[in-house]
Amino acid sequence: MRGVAGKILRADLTARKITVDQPDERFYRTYLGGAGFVSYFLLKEVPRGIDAFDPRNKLIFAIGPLTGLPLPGASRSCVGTKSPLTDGYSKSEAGGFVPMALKKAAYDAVIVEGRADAPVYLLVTDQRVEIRDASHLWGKTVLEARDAIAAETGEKQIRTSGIGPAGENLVRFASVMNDAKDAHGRGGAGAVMGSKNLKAIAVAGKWNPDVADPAKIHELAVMMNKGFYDNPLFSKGLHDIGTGAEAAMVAGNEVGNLPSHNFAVNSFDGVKKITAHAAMAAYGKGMEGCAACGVRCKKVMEIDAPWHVNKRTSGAEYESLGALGTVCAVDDLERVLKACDLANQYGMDTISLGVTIGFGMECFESGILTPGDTGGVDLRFGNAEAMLQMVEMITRRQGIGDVLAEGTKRAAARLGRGAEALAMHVKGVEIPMHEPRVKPGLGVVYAVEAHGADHCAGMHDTFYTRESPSFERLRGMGATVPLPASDLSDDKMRSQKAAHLWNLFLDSTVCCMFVPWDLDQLVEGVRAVTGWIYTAHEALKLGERIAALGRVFNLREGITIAQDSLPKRMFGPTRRGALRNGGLDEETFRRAVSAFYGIMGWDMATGVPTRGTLLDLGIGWAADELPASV
Amino acid sequence: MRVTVRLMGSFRDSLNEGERFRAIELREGSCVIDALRTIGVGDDEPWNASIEGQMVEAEYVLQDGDALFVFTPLAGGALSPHD
Repeated sequence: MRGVAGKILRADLTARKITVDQPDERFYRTYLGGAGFVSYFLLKEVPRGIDAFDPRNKLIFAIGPLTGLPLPGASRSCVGTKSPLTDGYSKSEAGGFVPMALKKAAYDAVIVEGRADAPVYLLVTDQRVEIRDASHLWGKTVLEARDAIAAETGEKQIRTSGIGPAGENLVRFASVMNDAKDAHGRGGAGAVMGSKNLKAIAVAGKWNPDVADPAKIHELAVMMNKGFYDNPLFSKGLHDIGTGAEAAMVAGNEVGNLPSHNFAVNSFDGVKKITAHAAMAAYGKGMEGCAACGVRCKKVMEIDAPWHVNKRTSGAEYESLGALGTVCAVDDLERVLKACDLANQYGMDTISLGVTIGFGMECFESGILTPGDTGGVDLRFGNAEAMLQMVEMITRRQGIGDVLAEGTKRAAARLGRGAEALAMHVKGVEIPMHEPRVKPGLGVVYAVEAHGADHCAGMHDTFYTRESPSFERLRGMGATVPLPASDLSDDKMRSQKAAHLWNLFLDSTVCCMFVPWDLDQLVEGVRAVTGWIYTAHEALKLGERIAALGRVFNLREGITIAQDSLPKRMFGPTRRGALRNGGLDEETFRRAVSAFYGIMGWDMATGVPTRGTLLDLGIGWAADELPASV
Repeated sequence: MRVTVRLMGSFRDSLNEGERFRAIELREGSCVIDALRTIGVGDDEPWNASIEGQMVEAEYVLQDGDALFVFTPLAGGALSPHD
């Protein structure tokens, strides 16, 4: 096989045993890498009904055929596990340098199982694999642990994928951090890693894949970089400021897309104070990127005392500025940036963290939480210091932080007294900073997607309202016609399916959506690497396969279509702002969900992938995993 | 009729330096797309627009005194990634 290592590393931490699988070429072509691998191994190997923190749960790190090559946006990894937030299927992607390093260590994936009897880290190079003591690293931040591992291994090019104190303390939305600022954020894989007593996977190597057509790879790299620089939408936006630009945040605030006050208001006067432009004007040190990527969309910031925001861990994105800023109604730039920095150092998903704190604030203002519950913290919207205190208390599970560390779904169930209505999650995963009331088609994907609300899983309705080169790219994958953002017709659902499958293919290659690949170009990339006559048909079928596997996993775990919905709040108006007169129509939304099921080849009433669909996707075996009740 | 247009993101290039708004005169019955053409936003450029926070499409009929807000399309937190 070309382009891949052909090896998957397995580490059984209970037995302290390392083994290597060498799957055949058919496996690689069927599941490709990244999200494809994750979906296969979760359903095949995680026993039905176990707790996410059961040692039998698996933690899967997977890269793809393009990883490690000198292509922009191609150093990304996918981490999958049974989620401690949803009790279902979970996957999350991140960039940085770890993915390239794993390819150079000559492995396509690492599967961790069992639980070590004391803290360990895994050292993986092309020369050796060791389970090493990490007792001295337990309690350290992501950055501290990363630097300590680099120092003690003597591997000059070492990269780490690891957890901070939040993962150790089983905060259910703990992230797995690639080095110190690239987060596999969604779904709580960091908590599963903590439950296994695994502090980090440290990777390094010098192996290079044998690529079928190196000249083609070079040609694609030149074309992608040129395409990027020739397109001002990319070169002026992502390259100069990354996400969270003033225009995106101010406009989002004006039309209600940027949530504020825990999605209850969506209009926040202080928004201009906490944009990426404001942050970079005050504290910017430049931009940086992932391995081999010219997009360089990542902000570098540094703040001196008393905030001590570290330029190696800083770099707040739109999602983080929204969740820890507007959702909490905090416009104190330094404290928002500090919270983002701490989330990276402690290893927590900034979206879930901010939305959970926003939930706590609304509970406090509603009287569900009292000063007695919060240890005297005045947990009102807009209290920046209280927001920062919650970051610390959640990380250490102190006081009310122990409740909030469970995520909004479990915290609301524990608090009762109407708290459930204030919990902004789907299946347990907190909703990102894109309002379903403004992007309802994306809201359907939030509702249906197996791993919970994910803004990278579907089409952003506002971007495809008119004919454009972007829409034309999507049309070639099965999209229909440009439609108003508010539309929830069957045609919109067909377009959402096209975007969904494209994103799942991206997550399997594993490549970044901030590089202007189109489907044929990325397929060409897979061809050039592997030598296969890989086609767009196979790429989109892979997307369908991954979606079906995730869905079967959830059905097996008892997650039904009752959870394919949005919080009740989304079906009503906000208190003020652009959405004050409206919300989604619940019946229209349900019809769109049903249409999406059908368009995906699932039963329109039950949402269950039909046996015919599973057979068509070459995963007939998955039908045996479905519970008899469906 | 008179309509005020406010621009954000790359559309500010259509304005003079320091200019934040532009008031334009349009015929009765003019639509959003007419306003955009008047200020020089090309037909093939992607955009979003709103009036009083409500998203409006190209064919939306403007009223005298409307304040039109035009911005680069809202996507995944960036100005305009392609999906």
